[in-house]
Amino acid sequence: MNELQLATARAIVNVFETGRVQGNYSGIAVAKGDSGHLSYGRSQASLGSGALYDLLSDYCQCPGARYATALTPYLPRFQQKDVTLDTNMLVRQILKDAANLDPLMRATQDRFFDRRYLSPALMAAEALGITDPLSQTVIYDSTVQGGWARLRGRLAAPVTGKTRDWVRQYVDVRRAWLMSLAAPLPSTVYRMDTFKSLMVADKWDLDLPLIAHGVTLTEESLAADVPVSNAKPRALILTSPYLRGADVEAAQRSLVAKGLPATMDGVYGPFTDGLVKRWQTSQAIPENGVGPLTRASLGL
Amino acid sequence: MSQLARACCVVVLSLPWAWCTAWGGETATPAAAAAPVAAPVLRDFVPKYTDSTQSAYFAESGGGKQPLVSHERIVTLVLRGSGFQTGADQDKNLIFINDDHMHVTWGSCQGRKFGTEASPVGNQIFAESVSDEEIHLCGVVVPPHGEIRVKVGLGEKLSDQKSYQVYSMGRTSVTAIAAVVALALALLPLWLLSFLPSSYRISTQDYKLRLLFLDPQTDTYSLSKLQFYLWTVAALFSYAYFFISRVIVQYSDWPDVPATLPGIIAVAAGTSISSQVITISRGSKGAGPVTPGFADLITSGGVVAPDRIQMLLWTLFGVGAFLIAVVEQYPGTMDALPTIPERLVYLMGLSSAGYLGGKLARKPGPVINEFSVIPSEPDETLARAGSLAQSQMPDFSTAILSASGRLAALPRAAGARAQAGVDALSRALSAAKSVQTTSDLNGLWNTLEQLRAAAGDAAEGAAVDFANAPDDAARASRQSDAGLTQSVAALLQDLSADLTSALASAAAVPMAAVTAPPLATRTITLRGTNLSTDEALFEIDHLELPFRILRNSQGNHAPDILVREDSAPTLARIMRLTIEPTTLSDDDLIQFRHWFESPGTHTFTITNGDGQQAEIMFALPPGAGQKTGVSR
Repeated sequence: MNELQLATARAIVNVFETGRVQGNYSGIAVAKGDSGHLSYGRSQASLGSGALYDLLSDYCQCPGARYATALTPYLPRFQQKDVTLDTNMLVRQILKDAANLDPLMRATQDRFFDRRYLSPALMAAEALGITDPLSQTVIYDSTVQGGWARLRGRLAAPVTGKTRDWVRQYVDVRRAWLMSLAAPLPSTVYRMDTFKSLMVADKWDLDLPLIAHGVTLTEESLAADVPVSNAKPRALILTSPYLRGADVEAAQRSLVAKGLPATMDGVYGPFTDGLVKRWQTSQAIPENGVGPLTRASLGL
Repeated sequence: MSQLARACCVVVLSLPWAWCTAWGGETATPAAAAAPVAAPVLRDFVPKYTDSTQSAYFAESGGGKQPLVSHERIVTLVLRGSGFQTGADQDKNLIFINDDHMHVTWGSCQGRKFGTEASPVGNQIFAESVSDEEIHLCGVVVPPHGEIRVKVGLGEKLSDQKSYQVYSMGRTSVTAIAAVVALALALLPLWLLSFLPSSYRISTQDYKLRLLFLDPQTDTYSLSKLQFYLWTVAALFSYAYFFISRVIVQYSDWPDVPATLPGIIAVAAGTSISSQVITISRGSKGAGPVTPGFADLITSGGVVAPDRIQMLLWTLFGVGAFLIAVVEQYPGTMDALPTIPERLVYLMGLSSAGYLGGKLARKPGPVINEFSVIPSEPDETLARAGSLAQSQMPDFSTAILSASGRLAALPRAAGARAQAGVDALSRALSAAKSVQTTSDLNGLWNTLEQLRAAAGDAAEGAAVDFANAPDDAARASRQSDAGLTQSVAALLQDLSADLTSALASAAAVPMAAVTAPPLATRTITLRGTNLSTDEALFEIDHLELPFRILRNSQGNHAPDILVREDSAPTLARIMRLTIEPTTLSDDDLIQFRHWFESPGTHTFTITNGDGQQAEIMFALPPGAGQKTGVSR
């Protein structure tokens, strides 16, 4: 997969897990059971499995990690899987702030979860001779949600040249398997239904745009909502769900400064888009959404 | 003989003198005898019998227009001797069959036809004097008793009478009939077995007819039973062969049971019974593989036993040799069953003694009668049950509270578009709050998608309304509506994402229970006989189950012996193997998972110190095969 396809694969699984293209880096949940307890991050590294300690340990070792000092004292307790951390509100707040305010935590999560889920999934796909980006995403999703190793053994190895048939069969088997499990797992079959829809739409190469669980994925929506300082600014266009972020809020602020009554909600919705079009008309800017020309004209 | 007849013979008919003698029953001096004639000499037939005949259809004159057709068996006789007339004089040879002078047509036997049912011929014997030492007679009708007595005459001189026997059946026919009789008798017990209400099940296979050969204690094919049956069938066949030969072929009386047969049966039965007695007193051999096979005949508990091999070979050789000796006997002349050479009987006795001695010398082997694994479900099923126990509905409260709070913070909707957006969000919140069941949950996503679309439409409509406002006043009034509607639509999108996130988090718990289940301690209980405890090798699916993964009640790496054998304290009748997965190394744990993780059928093997084995199949979860079949 190329970089865009990798980003799309991550985004699809993010949508399945969090309903958001970028995922929920600050998501915290507490689950019952030895393998659960406190879990955190884009793909929910859990205290019980030891993954949460590994993630935070990676983060604290990053030079410049803003919350390393606050988290380091807790690392031994994370390592010992101290379940009292489940209810430690201070730790929870540190974790949320680190994800929301420190790009390094998000970058660390990306690396960590790629290493833990994406890389093994791509290796498993390669071992089976599966090269379609969509098929690889199916395996990636299974490694994130769980059960890949268990279900893969139920199918004979794919025949060379017929890997797509194998993946279709796997999706059917997995859907039936999810339906047979305890609640609320049957309600997560939307993941398999999405893959089936993408197969029907011939999206084997993950060509954009595509729709996953009601979320439209575009190049713009895949771009980070809080871009790092040296990254290229993303274009703001009207999509579903609406683009959010500081860049949208900055655009709205400029529109207000230009005399257009934007609502400062940080949402690039129909109203904001209408105001942008009004501004572009007044300035004779032939552009869809907030691109380089509009951005320059707004002083962004 | 009357004077008239004698006169006819001599003067009118010029018939040979000897014929007249036979007719008249009185010897007289031929009137035309001019010179002394030597009597022909007829030697014994070689061979003296046959069972090979031809069919002939002879026309007989009856009362009606259509001739009667009689079907006869005919043979060709070759008369050998000396003094036969040849050439033009060959018709001077006189042929007497069963004391009757026969009218023969002299010429060649070659190409003679003896009619068919549709075109019968006259009853006629053809004769050809090949030389003065050989005469061929063709078309000689076989009399009912099969005996053909022949004399050759020349003038008044007659040869000695020689007898030739035609039997109704030869070896092939008698062998076939005897085989059918023996087979029918052998099949009788099989037919009776077919009336058993239920078959005997070993593993997943049903055994009914093969029960005859099974040793029920070990569920293996029994060599002693096989040899007993083989000798019994051989005895049946041989007596049937003898009986048919004597009664049907030779027209003799019902023959007495030959002295050979009881001896054979006695040896076979003695071996079989002695074998049973040794088994009871010494213990059985090992049960060997799960299902019986032909290898059982030469193995004991899966170990090749030379004493069994020699027993099998000598049995097959003895039975085969005896049967060959029987069928070598010609049915027409058979007067007794062949006697088995003394030395062969002696060798067979030694073979039986070797077999029985081997049983005595060998240690008893393991037999597994009952096998159980507790828990009986595979880890996967247990995990599923565990995940069901952890079944839970997702906690939407945080998402609902967040959305409700943000909605409350928004200004009141003034326009219809904004109100439509707010209504969609309110309905989405209500739908999320009302989720109680899996069915509610499954329906929630469709509801959210529709409401998101409605809110999006409202936001777009409000934005268009704002853009199309005719004047600044209208634009100002529509501005807040457009901004609010956009915010509400975005809020609904956030709510939808938060609900998805809550669902994924909740699903992670039962998923973890399924994909990384806690492994159950497994207790395997074996019931049987001669189960070695200290020297045994245990295997599942032919992969070693080493002692190091066992943990008995004393905490040692060994089995628990619950009941010992009375006669051999190192052997157990009931044994327990306990495996605690939490104490296993990574490699052993992989093996443990392979055996107990998924549903399937496995084979358990115990091998005693002397190499004798017993196998049993078990299923996780237990199926019909384990409940009724694997009892070995």
